[in-house]
Amino acid sequence: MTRFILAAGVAALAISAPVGAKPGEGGGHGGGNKGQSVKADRGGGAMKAQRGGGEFKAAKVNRSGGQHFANFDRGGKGHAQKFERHGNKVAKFDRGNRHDIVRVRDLRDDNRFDSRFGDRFAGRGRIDGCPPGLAKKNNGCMPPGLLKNSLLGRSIPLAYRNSILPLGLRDIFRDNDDFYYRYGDGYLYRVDRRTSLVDSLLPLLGGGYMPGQLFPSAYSNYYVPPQYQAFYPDSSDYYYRYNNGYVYQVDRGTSLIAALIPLLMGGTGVGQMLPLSYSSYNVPYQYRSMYYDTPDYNYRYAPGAIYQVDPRSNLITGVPVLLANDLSVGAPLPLGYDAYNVPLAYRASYYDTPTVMYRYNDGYIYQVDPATRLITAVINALV
Amino acid sequence: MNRIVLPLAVAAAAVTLSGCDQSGQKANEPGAAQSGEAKKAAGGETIAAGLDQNGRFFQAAKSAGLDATLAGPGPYTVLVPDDAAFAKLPKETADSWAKPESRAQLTGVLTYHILPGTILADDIGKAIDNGKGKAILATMGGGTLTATREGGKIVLTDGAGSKATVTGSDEKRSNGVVHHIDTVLMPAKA
Repeated sequence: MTRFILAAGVAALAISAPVGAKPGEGGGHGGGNKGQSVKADRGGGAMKAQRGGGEFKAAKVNRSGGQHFANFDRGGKGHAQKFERHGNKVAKFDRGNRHDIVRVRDLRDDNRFDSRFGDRFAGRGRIDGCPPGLAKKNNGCMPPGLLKNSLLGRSIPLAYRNSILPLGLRDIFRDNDDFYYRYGDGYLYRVDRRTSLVDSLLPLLGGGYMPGQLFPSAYSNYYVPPQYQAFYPDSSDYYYRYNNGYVYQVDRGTSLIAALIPLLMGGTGVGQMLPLSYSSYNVPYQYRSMYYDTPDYNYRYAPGAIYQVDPRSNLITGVPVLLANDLSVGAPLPLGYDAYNVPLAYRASYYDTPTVMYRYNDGYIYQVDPATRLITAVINALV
Repeated sequence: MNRIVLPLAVAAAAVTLSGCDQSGQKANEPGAAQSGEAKKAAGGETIAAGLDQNGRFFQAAKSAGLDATLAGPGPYTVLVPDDAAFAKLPKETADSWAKPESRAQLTGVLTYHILPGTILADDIGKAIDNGKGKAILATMGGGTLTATREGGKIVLTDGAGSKATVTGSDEKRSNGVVHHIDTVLMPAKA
């Protein structure tokens, strides 16, 4: 019972945290935000509230770890550097001397580095003034994690101009006379028809952060929902955090996101994006005869559900099966299975007696010993 | 002549508009995209088909993509709050669920109304008796509900401590069973 109460308490905390970060609720985690000008200028955008902390102090970059931020370092020396964000500037610090700012990028100013502090690396191995890894992204040298800040109030990047939502999602993100929607890079972009500028951003992948990016220190207290904590214990290599439907696996050494795990109960669902790491078919065996990939739809399992996914966009278009995932042979029957729940078609064969009881879960009927409450056998209950 | 030209221009404008809109095509029904095998397993009279298609519960389920779940093989026990139950919600809660960015929260609330397997009212009653007056029911949302009996009716207490009375029960469907309740259940939160 104590365990249960404790879990409930943690649940309360975990649920309150991401809700507080909802877009539009305005800088819930604001604290010492130094980027007031950015907030004032751009007012009410989706991501600023989540980034409200405004500081990326813990943003150490490991040369080997990052796909995106590591690109910054290509022209640099063989030691790690730090980035700090102050308002709309991102400053790169030499790690040896914290106050030796190597260069500063002004996010308002067309993404160019400000050379007031001496850009030692300018021109080295660059394409159109961008580090090579960022140049090919065709978004003005912007690492994807910072893209959202620059896109608000700007025109949508060429690459996303034709990324029209899959048919099944157009009812949810409905174009109207004032706005239309496009997506890309973990975000949904609402574009104002009058001005053709991005008017608001909605993260499709958690906070919009992807594997290989830095996990923002402002999220460090976003704990995994209690019902999933047992599945994602922190280790010496990784720790886990949660935001907006996704569990982030974060590398302790580099603070870079190593993996994204979508959770239906945590909020991932229709209209959200399934991370690319879910590109291969992984539906549980008992459901494979029913849910297989077709040219129109893919089916993927992630904790809590089987998702129907649009193969082109990787956006979730439906949730055909919910899975509880908490019963297994040899284990005790978990809390919540007090009531007999065997499907009607199987009730004649599997009914409770004083010596044996049956419970249904995720396509199987489990045989349980009423005395010990241990699960003793499993019977497939799907055709 | 003018009279002929004008309708033509309007028609041309209409065609152009629908071309721009991109949503001119009929949206896919997630439930309709299931394979034949899944449909067969779900049966003809699914929970999704049996619900009031214009009711607030079904509309909410649709906007969270869970209409496919209710049309899928299941089986599930679904606790459907009446429209009157939705009307009791604070206005800001109901309004926020209509927004795409609140879908996470809506999904959490809806999956709290879906239980694994087919649980008839009688099964809940027996569990209450065996459990000395209360039974714990797991939901697909991860939280649990506590079932008790009050005045001959089954009462469900949610994570937030509020109570819902089962007002209509045992609507048997090919992929589960539906019970009606008079309050929207809310998972535990701060």
